[in-house]
Amino acid sequence: MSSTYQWCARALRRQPLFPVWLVLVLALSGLYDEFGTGANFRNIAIQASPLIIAAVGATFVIMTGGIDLSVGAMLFLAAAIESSRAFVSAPAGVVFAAIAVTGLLMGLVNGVAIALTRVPALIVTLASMQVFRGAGGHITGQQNIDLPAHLRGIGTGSLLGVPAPVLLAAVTTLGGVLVFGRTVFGRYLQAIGSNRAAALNAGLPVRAVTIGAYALAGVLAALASLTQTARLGAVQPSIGDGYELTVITAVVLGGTSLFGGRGSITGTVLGALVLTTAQTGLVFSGASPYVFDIVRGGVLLVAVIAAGIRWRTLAQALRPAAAS
Amino acid sequence: MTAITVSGLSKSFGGVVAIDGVSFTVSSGEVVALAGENGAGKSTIKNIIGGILRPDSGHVDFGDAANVATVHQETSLFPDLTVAENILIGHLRSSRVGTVRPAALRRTASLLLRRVGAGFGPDALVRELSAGQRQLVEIAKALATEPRAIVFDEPTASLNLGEREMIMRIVEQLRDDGVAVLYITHYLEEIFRLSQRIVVMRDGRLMADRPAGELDRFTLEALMVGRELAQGYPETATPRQKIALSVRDLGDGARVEGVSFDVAEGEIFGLAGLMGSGRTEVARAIFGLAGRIGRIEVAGRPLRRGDVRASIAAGIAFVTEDRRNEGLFLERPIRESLSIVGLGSVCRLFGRVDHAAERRLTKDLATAVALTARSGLEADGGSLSGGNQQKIVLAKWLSGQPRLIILDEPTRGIDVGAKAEIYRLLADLARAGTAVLLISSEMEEVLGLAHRVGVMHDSRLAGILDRRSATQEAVIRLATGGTR
Ligand SMILES: Nc1ncnc2c1ncn2[C@@H]1O[C@H](COP(=O)(O)OP(=O)(O)OP(=O)(O)O)[C@@H](O)[C@H]1O
Ligand SMILES: [Mg+2]
Repeated sequence: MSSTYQWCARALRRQPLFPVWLVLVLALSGLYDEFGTGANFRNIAIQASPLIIAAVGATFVIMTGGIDLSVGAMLFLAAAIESSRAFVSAPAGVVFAAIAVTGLLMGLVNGVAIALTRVPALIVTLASMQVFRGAGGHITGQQNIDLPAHLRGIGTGSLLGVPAPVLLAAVTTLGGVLVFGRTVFGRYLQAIGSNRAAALNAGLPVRAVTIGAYALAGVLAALASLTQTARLGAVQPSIGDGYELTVITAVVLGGTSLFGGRGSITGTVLGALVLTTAQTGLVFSGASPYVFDIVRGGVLLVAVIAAGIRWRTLAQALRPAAAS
Repeated sequence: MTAITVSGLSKSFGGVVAIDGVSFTVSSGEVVALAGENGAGKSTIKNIIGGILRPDSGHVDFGDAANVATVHQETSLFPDLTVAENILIGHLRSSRVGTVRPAALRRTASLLLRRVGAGFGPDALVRELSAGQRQLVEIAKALATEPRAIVFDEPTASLNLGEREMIMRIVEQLRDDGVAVLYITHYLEEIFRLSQRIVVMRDGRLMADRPAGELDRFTLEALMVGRELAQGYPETATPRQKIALSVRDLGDGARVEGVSFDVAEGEIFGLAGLMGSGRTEVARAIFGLAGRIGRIEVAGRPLRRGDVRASIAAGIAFVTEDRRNEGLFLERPIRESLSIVGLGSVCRLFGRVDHAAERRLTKDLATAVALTARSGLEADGGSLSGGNQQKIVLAKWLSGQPRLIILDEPTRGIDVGAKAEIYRLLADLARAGTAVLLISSEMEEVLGLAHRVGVMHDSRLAGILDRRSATQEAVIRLATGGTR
C-alpha cells in the first residue's frame, strides 16, 4: 500500500463529498456546453455564497446537537428591515450594522429560549420561525421593494475580480474553520454536542456556548440575507422561503451529525456547493423548479443514510448473519 | 465436552492489532478465566464469540452448545423501558411468554431477577437504577435465553462485595449445571475462586493457558503486566491540619440526609457502604450535580449549591462512576476528552487553543494514568477499551492540582498494573495537599488507602472509622445497619 494511496484514502474518508462534487461538475459540463464555462462557474459561486454563509452558522448550531428552523425566516426579517422606510437614505454602514444587530437579536432569542428553558430547539425555532416571518411580512406588507443602489454593492461589486458575495462567503468559511478548529469556543461546541452530561460535568459553560452558537447563526443568517438581497437588488416576499431546508440539507450532506458532536465547516461548504451545482444543473436541463425540491429531499435522505452507515461501521457493529 | 473452541482468532481495527492469533477452548461445566491488562483484547474476543464482531481470520466453534449468551462490560440497556422489558427484550416476539400477557413477562422476569439476587422488581425503570443494579439486569437478560455457554465481561466491576458474592454463586451454579463459562475480570480473587483454567492475554496475544492450580497471584500478575508489580498500597503521608472540605447536614433533597464530615488537606477519606446507600448522591451533591441541602465549605469558604462551575473554580474535581454517559466524548478524539477540563491553560489570545501545548498536556496526562491507547490520542474515545476509558475520566482532572478530588469508583474495570499506578497517583496528590474523597465498593482499596473511612447506611452516615478501627468487619457492620 503506497503512502499516496493511504493519504488519498484518508482524505476521502474525511471529505467523501469532494469527489461527488467533482463528478457532478464534470458530468454536467459534459452534458451542457455552456455549463463548463468560467462565467457559469462564477455564477454558481455567487449563487452558493449566501447559502454557504447561512449554512456555516447552522453548522455551529447543529454541532451542539441543536437545530435552527428559523434560518429562512431570519433571512426574510433581516431583508425586511433592510428595505424598511427608516433606512431608505441611511448610509450603507448604518444599514449593515442595523441588520447585523437584527440577526444577533434573533439568534439570541432562539439561543436564550433554548438554553434556559431546555425546550427542544426544534420547537423553539419552529415558533420563532413563524414570529420572524410574520414580522417580516408585516414590515414589507408582502410587497416587492427595490433596494437603493448604494445597498446593492455587496451583491454586484467585486474586489480584484472576485465577486463580493464570494469574498464574503470565503471570509465566513475561513472564520468558521478557525473558530471551529482552533478556539476554545469551537471545542466546547463540539464537546457539548458529543456528550452534554460530560460537558456539564467538566464544568463547561454549556448555556453560554449554546446561546453563542445560535447568536452566531443569527448574525450569519443576516449576512446571508444582505448578500442575497443585494444580488437580487430587491426584497421579495419569497425570500428565505423554505431556505432552512436547503441549509440543513447542506450541513447534513457535509457530514455533520444531526445529533451533534461530529462535523466540519469544510464539509458544510462542500454540501452547499453540491446543492447549488445540482440546482444550476437542473436549470440547464430545463426542469421545473419543483424538481429541485425533490432532489434536495432525496439528497438529504441519502446523506443521512450514508452517515448512519459510516458511523455504524466505525462503531464496528458489522453484525454477521449467524449471531447466535 | 468442548463448548467454545476459539482457533487462530485475529482482529485489527484500522491498523491496530487488537488480537493476534488467539486459540483456546472452554468446556461444558468449566469456568475459564480470561485475564489481561486494559486493552489486551479481552472484550474483543468476547465480541467475536458473541457475534458482534467478525474476526479478520480464525473462527469460533460452538460444538453443540449453539446457544451462547454474553454479558457486556458496558451495559446496553434501554433506560426508558422497565426491567422486565429489558430482560426479555429479545423474546417479546419469538417466545410464547412475551407476546401474550404482560403478567407472564413480569413473572418470568421476577424469576430471573431472583436468580441474580436483585433487590428490585420487574417494573422498575432502568433509568432509575444504579450502575450496579443495571449490571444485575444485564446478567438476568443473558440468563433469559437459557444459554449453554456464557461469556461474562467484568460482570462484577460495578458491584460491591455482597453482590459480587452473589454473582460468583450464580457462576458456580451455572458451571455445576454444565454451562461453559468464559469469565473476564480484573479481580484476581474471583479468578482463583471460580476458574479451572486461566487464559492470559497481553497486547492481543495469548501469553498463557494453564490450569488455575498451577498459577499463583504473583505469577499471574507478572504474566499479565510483563513485569513484577509492587505489592501492597503506597505509603500515605500524615494529613495536614487545615480542613479542605467541611460538610454539614448535607442532603440531596430526596433521600440522603444529615451527612456531616470533614476532610483535611492531604487526607484520603474513604466513603464505604452498600450499593444504593447514598454514597454517589453525597458526592454529586457536593460537586453540584444534584440538589443539596446543608452547608459545604471548601478551604473555609462556603460553596454555592448546584453550581458545578463554582465547584470547579473552588478547586473540586469529580471523577464520575458513569464514564460512558458523563465521563468522556466517545465520538471525539481521545485528546479532546483529556484536555477538556484543562483547556483554559492552553488557551491563548482570542480563545485560540495552542495545539502544541495541548498535545503536550494530554501526553503527560495519558502517561500519568498509564493509558494504553494503541491507536494514539487522535483515535475516537469510543475505540478505547473499558479500563482505558476509565483512566481518561480521571486523567482529565489532573491538569492542575485540585484542592479536593472526589472519586466515585475510580478503579472500576482497571487492570492490576494500572490500579497500582492510580493508588500511587492518589497518594502523591494527597502528599501534595489535595484532599481525596474516595468512594469505592472495593473494600480492600478503601481500607488500604484511606486515613479515615465514613460508612454510609440507608442514606445516612452511619459512622466514621479511623485507620486503626477500620477493619473489614467494622465497615460491614456499619454498612449493614449494625452499630460500632
Ligand atoms: N472499535 C474499535 N476501534 C479501534 N480500536 C479498538 C476498537 N475496539 C477495541 N479497540 C482496540 O483494541 C484493543 C483491545 O481492546 P479490548 O476492548 O478488547 O480490550 P480489553 O482487554 O477488553 O480491555 P479492558 O480490560 O480495559 O476492558 C485496544 O487497544 C482497543 O483500543
Ligand atoms: Mg474490556
